Amino acid sequence: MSTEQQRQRVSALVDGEVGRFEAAAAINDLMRSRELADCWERWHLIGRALRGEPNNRAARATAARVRAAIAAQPSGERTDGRRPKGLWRPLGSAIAALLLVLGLAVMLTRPWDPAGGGLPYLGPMPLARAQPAAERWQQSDPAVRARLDRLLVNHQEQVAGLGSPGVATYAAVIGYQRLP
Amino acid sequence: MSNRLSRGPQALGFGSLSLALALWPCMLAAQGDHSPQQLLERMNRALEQVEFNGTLVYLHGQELAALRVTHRIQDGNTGESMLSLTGPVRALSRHADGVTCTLPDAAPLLVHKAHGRRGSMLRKVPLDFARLSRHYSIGRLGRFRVAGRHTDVVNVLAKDGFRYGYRFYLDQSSGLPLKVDLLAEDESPIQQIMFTEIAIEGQVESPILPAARGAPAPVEARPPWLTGRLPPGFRILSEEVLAREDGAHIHQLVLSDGLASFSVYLEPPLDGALHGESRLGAVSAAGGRVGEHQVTVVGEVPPATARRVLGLVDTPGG
Repeated sequence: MSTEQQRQRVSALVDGEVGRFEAAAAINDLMRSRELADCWERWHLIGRALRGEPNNRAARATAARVRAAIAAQPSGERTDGRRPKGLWRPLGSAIAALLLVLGLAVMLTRPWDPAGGGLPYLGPMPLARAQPAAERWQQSDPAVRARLDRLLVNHQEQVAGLGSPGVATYAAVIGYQRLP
Repeated sequence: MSNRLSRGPQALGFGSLSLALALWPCMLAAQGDHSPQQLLERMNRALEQVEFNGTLVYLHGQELAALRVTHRIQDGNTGESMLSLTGPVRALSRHADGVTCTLPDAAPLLVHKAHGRRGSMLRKVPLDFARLSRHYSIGRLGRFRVAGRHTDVVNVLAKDGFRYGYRFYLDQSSGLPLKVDLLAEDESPIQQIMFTEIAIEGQVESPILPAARGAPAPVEARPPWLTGRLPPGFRILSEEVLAREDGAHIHQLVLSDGLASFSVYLEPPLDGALHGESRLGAVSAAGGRVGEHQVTVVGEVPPATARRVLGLVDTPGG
């Protein structure tokens, strides 16, 4: 269970307003609380939509959940041609979450529709115009990106300090950003 | 009398020379004229002994990002937190338990440190300059100001295309690297990391090279699934078996030439595996199915190195 203080700290982290000493505490809170981690994802999604940044990567976490739910089912239960009842709950939740995410993104981005006025277009890029080549690792599949991130961080954790200057080893992990 | 008088200046001159020779190392130290090897060793120790926080910029190709960095030492262990100041908020924390990385579009990524793992020992490995000199040319390149501070510039240039070179801008006061360029074989920068402002607490005084501190010997036995000739200079530093989220085992080999490093992961096939090549900044990855396994090579090495190592993996059915 996360405290209100922890939630506020993570919220400040999402907004980039957390002090440097609080940043580490907020990250540690995220590590220990699944509830806060979910908040992190939701708040980011909303923030990106409000700022008009591409949000199609929101499918990443949901896709991973769907995949995990399917993988969690014993293979024998899928051989009779009927879906076991137990599968519908996580799958349904995942689909509902995806629809909620997409609906939220559409709803939040609508006020900046360029067709709505004569002001310069400052709103979100249409999803179809997102540049897959600019994704992390140049991979369109979020599961591949997540997997490579994990393998890289695991590698860096073992070799950090091996003649390389500390923070530099992680700069690529955090520094890489997809331009709008 | 006259002899004594005439010998006086000679004696004074000889004494001065002797004194100068005796104090030469100290004079060098006072002037900051250390050898590049001493400066690099001092850099390594500074990262273990000096706390700092500041803002750095990360430049790769056309991409530019700013990061807030805090480096702390607690109970002899170093830790960092990094927070992106540009674009979507990304954050990373390295602490006694491992690494937590939060990216905006995914659940936090956790890598727990397995205490006692051989890999964690690599942090204490001193630089082996005799070995490095076979694959890198090491030299000083003068001085430069970074973040308003004076630095000594050290070049570590790769002698072949299997690794990148480095250019370190080392703070004269603390020994910390304030700017690090990753260089291609033609010395053009591939990636640059530079502090724009930094607050440093403490400094590393002695420039003298320390005695070797029991560096872990390379793993002599090569696993049967890694065949052929490794890129020159790279040796296996550790071999680990990790547990995957679904319980499957991942075999990890860490290879290094003393500066550059990469890991080879061998595991049962899975969704989300890399097939082909990929890059993240200066990090290269190559992956594919070999026999009944998925193999992925990841590290800060040129793509050709990752590709070559992937080609060395041979498993049953491969």
